[in-house]
Amino acid sequence: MTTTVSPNGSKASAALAEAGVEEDFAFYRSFTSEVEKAVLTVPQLIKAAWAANDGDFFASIFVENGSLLMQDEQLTSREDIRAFMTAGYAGIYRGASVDGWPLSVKFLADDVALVVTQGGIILDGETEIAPQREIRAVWIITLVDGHWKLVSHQSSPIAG
Amino acid sequence: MSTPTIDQQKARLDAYYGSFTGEKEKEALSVPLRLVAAWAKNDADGVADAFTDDGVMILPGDVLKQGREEIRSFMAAAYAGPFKGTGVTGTPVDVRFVTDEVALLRTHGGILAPGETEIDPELAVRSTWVVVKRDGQWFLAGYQNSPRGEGATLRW
Repeated sequence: MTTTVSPNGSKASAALAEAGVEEDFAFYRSFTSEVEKAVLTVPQLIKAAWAANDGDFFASIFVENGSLLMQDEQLTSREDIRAFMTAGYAGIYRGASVDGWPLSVKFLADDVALVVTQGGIILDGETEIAPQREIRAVWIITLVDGHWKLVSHQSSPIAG
Repeated sequence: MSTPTIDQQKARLDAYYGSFTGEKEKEALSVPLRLVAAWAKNDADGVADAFTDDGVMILPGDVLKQGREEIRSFMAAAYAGPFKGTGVTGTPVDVRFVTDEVALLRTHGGILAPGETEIDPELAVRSTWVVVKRDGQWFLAGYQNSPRGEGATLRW
């Protein structure tokens, strides 16, 4: 049996295309199995939501009871996340984007992954991540009805 | 120091579990309890053994340890140095199951300086414990903390 998986034929490519996000093939680094790439569509979608400063898009990447820690605010539902980020993009995060890259991808179950990334926020007018805003983040990502969704995101500052 | 009675131990545990009184929740919370107990003895092996083989630990201050052995070495060095005589404490504030065998626990706590029972505000953290059940026992697949309160500066 011969199986040819072209970049445009992967589940990752399909998920990103469905969201209208251009696939960043360099993003995957060494995590290039089909399922690793599919999991890593989630941070690519989040990056795109930041680039668009789009709170609805951002929230849609989470599961319904998804959780997110922003500064000292622990958000615990998609609706809380939507409201918080929509207000943020009109305020403190206006014009901000994020960068990041995967350090590890581990499967806790067939349909649950723990991803560690490094990166950070680039505020409006900045061109790179300021040293005090460099972070490592843990992402818990799960498969829901054929789509990988974000269950939890928390960052820890690298400086400290 | 007298050994606490069974009733006293049960009262302490009930206080720790707070509103998380389901059997599954209490099982999952065995992981932070094991870690706190190991830390109280400054026992690097005990801390490392609470993790899965490939568990991850992320702390502010540029700490990223991958795998039980890296965690063991880091903790052994820390207990001989900066963490010597310290304790750790944390109150569960959230328990959520991703599957029957994967859960996220959140605690508010921090490191206790030697002899202290209250956390210095600068050391207050929000911890997330990613715990998994393996062969009937819960282990730590990922531990991470982030500053709580004034130290929680703007970041993504």
